[in-house]
Amino acid sequence: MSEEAKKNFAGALTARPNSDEPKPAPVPAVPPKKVIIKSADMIPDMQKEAVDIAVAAFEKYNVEKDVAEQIKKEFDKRHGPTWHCIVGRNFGSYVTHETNHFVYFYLDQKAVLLFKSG
Amino acid sequence: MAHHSSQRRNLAAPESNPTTPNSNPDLIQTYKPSFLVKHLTNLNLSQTHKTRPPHKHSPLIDTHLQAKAMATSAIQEKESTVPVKRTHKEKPQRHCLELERRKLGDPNDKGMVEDAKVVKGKPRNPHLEKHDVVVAAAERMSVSLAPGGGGGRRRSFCGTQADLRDVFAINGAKMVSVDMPPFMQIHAVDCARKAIDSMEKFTSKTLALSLKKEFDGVYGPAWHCIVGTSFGSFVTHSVGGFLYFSMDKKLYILLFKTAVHKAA
Repeated sequence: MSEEAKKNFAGALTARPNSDEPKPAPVPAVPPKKVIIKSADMIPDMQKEAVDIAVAAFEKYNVEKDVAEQIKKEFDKRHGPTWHCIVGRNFGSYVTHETNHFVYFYLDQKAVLLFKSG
Repeated sequence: MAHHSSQRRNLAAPESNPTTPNSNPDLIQTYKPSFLVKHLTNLNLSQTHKTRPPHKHSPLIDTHLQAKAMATSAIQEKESTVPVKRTHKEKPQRHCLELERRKLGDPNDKGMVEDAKVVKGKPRNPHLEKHDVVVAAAERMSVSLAPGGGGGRRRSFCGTQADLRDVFAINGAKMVSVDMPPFMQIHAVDCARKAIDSMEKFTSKTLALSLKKEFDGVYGPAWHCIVGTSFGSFVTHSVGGFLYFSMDKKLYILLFKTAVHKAA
């Protein structure tokens, strides 16, 4: 299961650098990040969206709270309030979330928890 | 300035005789529009203070929080990430929502390896109620309290503040950011300390579970808890339902509440 998800997302990320889409500015090639979906109660499309937004946020920001802010705001905008996001290397959590609105995944060494509640 | 000074002296005195010239609440309201906000805050604090017993699920608290939550939700429709707060201390709203703890753990720590450690138990003072203790807390609190309030009420607030410091100090806890009545803060710290002390092997997840369940049970759903040494977060919470504190100098605990909508 996690292996499948791993390959799938890794493949998706790997395909991106080879894209022929015109880029506004040349960016040095960055090795694709390893993505592992640890736990999810979310439709696959939304999961991928979360991962993509997270990858973009990590490229843009260095501070964990800024990454969390970016992800949460993007989801509030796209899927309506109210979302909550936790990003970090070391944390445990226990939360209540709405059905089909929860995902917990790893991006390299960082874990991302995103869920909807309220 | 002179008025302010007078107010402070009055509150610091052992006998709280209301000798302020603006003893009439109506007059005060007409003269100072800002007083209305403080007055409301005062009433809110008074309400929550009266329902001090944390283990009793009071409908008043539930209604109070739910009402605030609804107000917050309405505002969230316009500004999704800036909930309205009413606290007796002025704090930047943004700071309340953005929390950051960088790498504090072992540099060799990989992924989500949680720290396994036994926290030393500390003797706790069983007498949490110390209404006699005023001292420095009174001076600080005097700035935020309305002059029209009753003397007894003001003293209680000072006592509460002192109790709060005491509980935090005893448990090795430190408030980082808070939007929560004092008695709930005390409850959270006590609960966290008991949970940590009762664990043979500490795990962040277990502590988070313990705190969330306790608060869900006592104050109603839905609470969320994050525990760890290195994490950043961005959340939206109900008014009066947010607490971010540290324990034993390197463990951080985030506890917050959201409104519950019965959908479908």
